[in-house]
Amino acid sequence: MISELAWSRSAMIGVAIILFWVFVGVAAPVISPYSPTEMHDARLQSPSPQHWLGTDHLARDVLSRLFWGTRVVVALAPLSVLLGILIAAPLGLISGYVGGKLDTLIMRGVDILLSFPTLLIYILIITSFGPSMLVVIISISLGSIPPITRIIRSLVLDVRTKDYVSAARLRGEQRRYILLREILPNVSGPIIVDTTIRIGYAIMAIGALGFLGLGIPPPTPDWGGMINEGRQWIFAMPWIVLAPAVALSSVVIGLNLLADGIREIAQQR
Amino acid sequence: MLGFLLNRIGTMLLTMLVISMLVFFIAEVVPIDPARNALGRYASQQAVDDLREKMGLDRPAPVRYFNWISNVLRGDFGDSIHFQRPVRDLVAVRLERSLTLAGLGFAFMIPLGLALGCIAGINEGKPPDRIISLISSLFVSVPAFASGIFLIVIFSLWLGWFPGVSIPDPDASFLESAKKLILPILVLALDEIGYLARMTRVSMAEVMKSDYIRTAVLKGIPKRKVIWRHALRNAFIAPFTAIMLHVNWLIGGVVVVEVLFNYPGLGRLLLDAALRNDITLLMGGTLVLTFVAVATQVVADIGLYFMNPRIRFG
Repeated sequence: MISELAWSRSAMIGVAIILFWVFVGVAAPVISPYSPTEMHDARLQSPSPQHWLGTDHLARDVLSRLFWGTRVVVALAPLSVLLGILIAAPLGLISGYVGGKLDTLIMRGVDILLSFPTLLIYILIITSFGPSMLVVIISISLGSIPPITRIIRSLVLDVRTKDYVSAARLRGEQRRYILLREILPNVSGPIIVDTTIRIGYAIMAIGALGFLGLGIPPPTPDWGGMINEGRQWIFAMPWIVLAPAVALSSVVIGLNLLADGIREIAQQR
Repeated sequence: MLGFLLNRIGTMLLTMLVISMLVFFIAEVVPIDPARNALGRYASQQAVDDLREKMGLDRPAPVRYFNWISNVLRGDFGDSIHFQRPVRDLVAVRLERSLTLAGLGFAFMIPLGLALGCIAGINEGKPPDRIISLISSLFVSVPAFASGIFLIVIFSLWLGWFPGVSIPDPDASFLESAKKLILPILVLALDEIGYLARMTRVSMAEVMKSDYIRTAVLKGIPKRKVIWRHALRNAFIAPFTAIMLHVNWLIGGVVVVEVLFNYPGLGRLLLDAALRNDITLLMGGTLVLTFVAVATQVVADIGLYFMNPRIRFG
């Protein structure tokens, strides 16, 4: 699988972009010229050899904040999607395989939650519980449960009629064995593609929340929050908001390119 | 057919019921006492308790939910804590503005997205398809707040063509108002165009490979005519539903665009309510906006039912 990925140009570009930002996130303490919260002598400075991207409205180094802000994106987005999968996978597997009333009940719930605009759920939850890193992660993973459940269910519906599943059933295997050993491995490919795209959505959501002022509370550097705070100076110092906007878009583009690549390979098989 | 309509409307009512419960019980957690809020910090505890009793706040949550929802059904969403005015009036004005913005966004994005998707789908694998597919992947990947920043920097800062804020001014001329709305509409459209073009491309490519199109081509009908007469009609069904079911994404875009351009619509109102802990306003506005979303999805479903004979007779 991984060696096949090397043949897909879009996947390789995607992987390169993602690895770049993962490196920036991990190495942030080493490569950042300053601390992300340290205040320097002048606010709203233009780019200079000391401050490559200038300083923000609180005289903090924008480049250092950009580097440190990578951590929020690189760590929180996959974490919240994984949390969502942990809850959605059993729901989807059971709903698709067992069927019947349980399936109807789960899918009704999923349909109802899917018709609720996601951003409004986030706003409501974050207002009620107060903005914190934990609340942001939980609300984004909650938002991802209904769509993941639905996708896994439809994949299971497709696989459950296959001969190897019938064979396992005839052998008298337990339902748990069939679900985990026969069905799960055979639906994992499309789940990986979906997860890659969904991490991109989570990054957009974390960014949007930061932009709306409901994200990770300051002074933690966060790209969405940087755009929110720097918005007032967009006409005088556009780089303060352009840098995080370009960074965030590039990560999502990287993830989507990777997903396209994986999908291409899956189709060739 | 009547059964289908009743089923859809029944589902919609059930959905709204569950969503209203969710909204109410999530809002329960907010650590704000409306009675204390109304009377101010210096009121005596006795006065606050009396008001709580009068407002019914001392009753159990299910009873309060029932009171709230029966008032809502009569059109009474309560008063906004911050504005001290009926939520209903505040929301009505803002909703109209948001619908205008979303409607203009739709009017711009649907023809463009469909056209791009069709061109790509007809030329599957050829250079036009590759270029359009690349552009739509880019648009899909860039979130609305980032593309908004890019457009403001390019069109207001560098080129100076359009203003970067869109506060409506009743005295401004039509041209002036239109100029203010172009960037927000563009951002909103870019947020969806990539998705719409991708959907249309897949659908169009599939239709072009179908037997009836091949038959039409083999019968000697010119390709142009085949596309206009047969392919488009069938290829548009899938993207039509896709875009209507994507209305929740569009709502997210509307909130972001309104905040970015300072456009006073319902999205901005909801965010301000959230930031000020104005929970009655947030609950009422969320319920109204969700109702709009759910109703759109039901209308899309019913529309699809009439557009696609395979469902109607299947």
